[in-house]
Amino acid sequence: MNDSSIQPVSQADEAQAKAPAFKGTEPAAPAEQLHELQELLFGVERKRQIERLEEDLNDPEKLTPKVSLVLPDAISARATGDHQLTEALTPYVVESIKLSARRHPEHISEAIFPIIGPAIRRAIAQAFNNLSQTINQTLQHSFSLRGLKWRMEAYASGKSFAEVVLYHSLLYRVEQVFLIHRKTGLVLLHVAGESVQTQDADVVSGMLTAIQDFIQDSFGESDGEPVGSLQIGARTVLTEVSPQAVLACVVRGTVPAELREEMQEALESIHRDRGKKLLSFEGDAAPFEICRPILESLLQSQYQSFADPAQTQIPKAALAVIGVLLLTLGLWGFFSIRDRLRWNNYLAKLSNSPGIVVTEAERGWRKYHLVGLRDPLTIDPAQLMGDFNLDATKLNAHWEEYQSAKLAEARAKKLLNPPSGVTLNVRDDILYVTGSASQQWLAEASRLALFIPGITQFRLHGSDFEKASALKKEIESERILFFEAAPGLVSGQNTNLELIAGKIRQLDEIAGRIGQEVRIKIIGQTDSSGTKEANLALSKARANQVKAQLELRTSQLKNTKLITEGIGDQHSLSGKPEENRRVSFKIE
Amino acid sequence: MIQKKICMLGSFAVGKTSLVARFVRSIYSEKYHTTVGVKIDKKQVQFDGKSMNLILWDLYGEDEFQKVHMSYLRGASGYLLVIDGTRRETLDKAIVLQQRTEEAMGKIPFVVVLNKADMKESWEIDDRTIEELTNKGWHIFQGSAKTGLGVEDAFLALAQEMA
Repeated sequence: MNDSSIQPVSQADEAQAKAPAFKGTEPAAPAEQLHELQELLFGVERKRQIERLEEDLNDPEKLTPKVSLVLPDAISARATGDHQLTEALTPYVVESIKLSARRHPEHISEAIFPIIGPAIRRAIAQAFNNLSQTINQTLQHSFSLRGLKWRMEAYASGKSFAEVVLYHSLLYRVEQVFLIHRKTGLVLLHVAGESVQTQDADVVSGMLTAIQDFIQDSFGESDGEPVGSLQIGARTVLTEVSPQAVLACVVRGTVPAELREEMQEALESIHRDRGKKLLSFEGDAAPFEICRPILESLLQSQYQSFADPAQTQIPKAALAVIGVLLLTLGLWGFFSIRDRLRWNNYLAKLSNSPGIVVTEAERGWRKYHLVGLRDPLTIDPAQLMGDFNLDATKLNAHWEEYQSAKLAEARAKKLLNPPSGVTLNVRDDILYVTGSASQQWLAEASRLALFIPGITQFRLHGSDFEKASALKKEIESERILFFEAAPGLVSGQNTNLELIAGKIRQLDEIAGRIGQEVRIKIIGQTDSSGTKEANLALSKARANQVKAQLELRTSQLKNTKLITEGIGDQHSLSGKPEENRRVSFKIE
Repeated sequence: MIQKKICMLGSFAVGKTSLVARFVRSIYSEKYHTTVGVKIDKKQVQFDGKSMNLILWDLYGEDEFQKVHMSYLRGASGYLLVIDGTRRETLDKAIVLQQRTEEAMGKIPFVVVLNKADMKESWEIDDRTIEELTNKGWHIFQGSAKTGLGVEDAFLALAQEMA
């Protein structure tokens, strides 16, 4: 222990002892001497320490735990300085999240679950806010003079009123942003605002670069400043250029001064993130997709506010004009609606009229147009207009003639020309003829009727023919009964004869009308008792008697001939002799 | 998708624009030629299961009044050289243009389209000349704006060389 404590002294003495060796030269400064002394005393040790440090630095296994101790503090210290660390880490963080989302989507969904609801709510609230702003703008201008002018403009251009309002109240809007590779003119990324019409970004980007080159070649110096902006109508193309990239914003309206600054910052940021990719660009734009949020942040817009009530107040003259306009409109509307209703009713009536088919109907400003089919036998459409208080002189109608089945009856009346007392009716395609007509007319009518559209059958209905037929049946069913072996009538037969005579008179009258002749055969019969000859004679006598009796009751029959026949007991029925003693009738 | 800028060069009136008109997607009219001196179109080619977008800078044909803006060539990955088969002088001009392009751009892929193949009877360029050019390393296609012959092949060959 003592040895070691005195050792430095002895070393110092040794150094002093060596001092005479430097005689004749400048004595060393005390600091240098001390340094020299330290070098001598600790040199070996320091060298060993440096070697150990180098070894630690080169060995990741030893270095990592040491760096890990200071890393959090280092990150915190850097982050408070500027945003470079954040920007440098952003791509890696984004990539990590993407990778994680692909591999373990459940972890991501679990992590974002607590924030996704509020985020959606906030986005919806923002969207509604924007919407209400648009509606407010629209409403604000709806009733002003300016608003009326814009409404006319909207009507003329075919745009919506809201669009026109937004267009006029627009201060500026960044519609599109292009990130272009400077050397090749190829588009690296392109973003456009909502509802902005865009062309092919690749081609536009190329042309933009070409125009830049053209202007620079034509008017600039060879290595001069690049073109900063181009003005095209209401749009300005602002360009911000870096050695490798061009950022171009298409702006409508007045370009705000701060936009260029923001573009510069955006371009710098892109360079920091993707500088190397820009340098090594060989045509693959995919790595620049990550810059989309930066470009989208430049898609800004600002609208003018017209909140000054003095501006929006409507002048009295304008109110009067609007009042007159509204009144005129109201009157016009009333007459227009009334006329329309009348026209519609008229059309309904016309369409329901048989023999009219309306294929086109148009109510114009000054004229009514009608096209369709019309049966000449139906009502006159122009005349019908009067019933609906419509001006028939305004009617411009074109009718094709046709024959309607619904007008078969009218057509039959016209074509068949029925004599007076004859009525024609059409039901279910059947022409019913009622009344009395000559045989000749009936024959002609029955032939012609079937040529009429809508008539498939010809039928006599309630006519003389029908009556004649009925009378014939009635007369033929009558019997006049006699006493046995005598031509005398049994009691009550006179009434019967009266009845039959009446029917014969009716038949004679009808036959006269329809031009026919009637032959009534009076057939006398006997029962089977007695001889054949006697019976035959008796039957004839009975027939003659009935004929005489009938002639008495039916004087001057013009179209009827009464003939008699005795058939004896030819058709006598067994078991009922009194029934066989009779006279019956047969009409031919 | 990979994009490449390519240029189309040739003398005045060799039919460059007509040659590619029906093969490209175009949004600009030809008036850009006489104003800016270039018209930009887009052509998509597919090969080996991949797609490539060619952004075609159709440069105004050079004549005694107007020179090609060499700055338009900057960044091009390849070019199409168009010659009118019926006009010998357009070949001479193409040789000059090719040299100038190579000086400016270095050796980059290019293909040559001998246009108006549908009028071969009026050609002023014979097979021997074509053979000489081929031996020189020129990749030559015979093309026709009228029939559309050779254009797709030329684009595809150029795309493959640039890939």
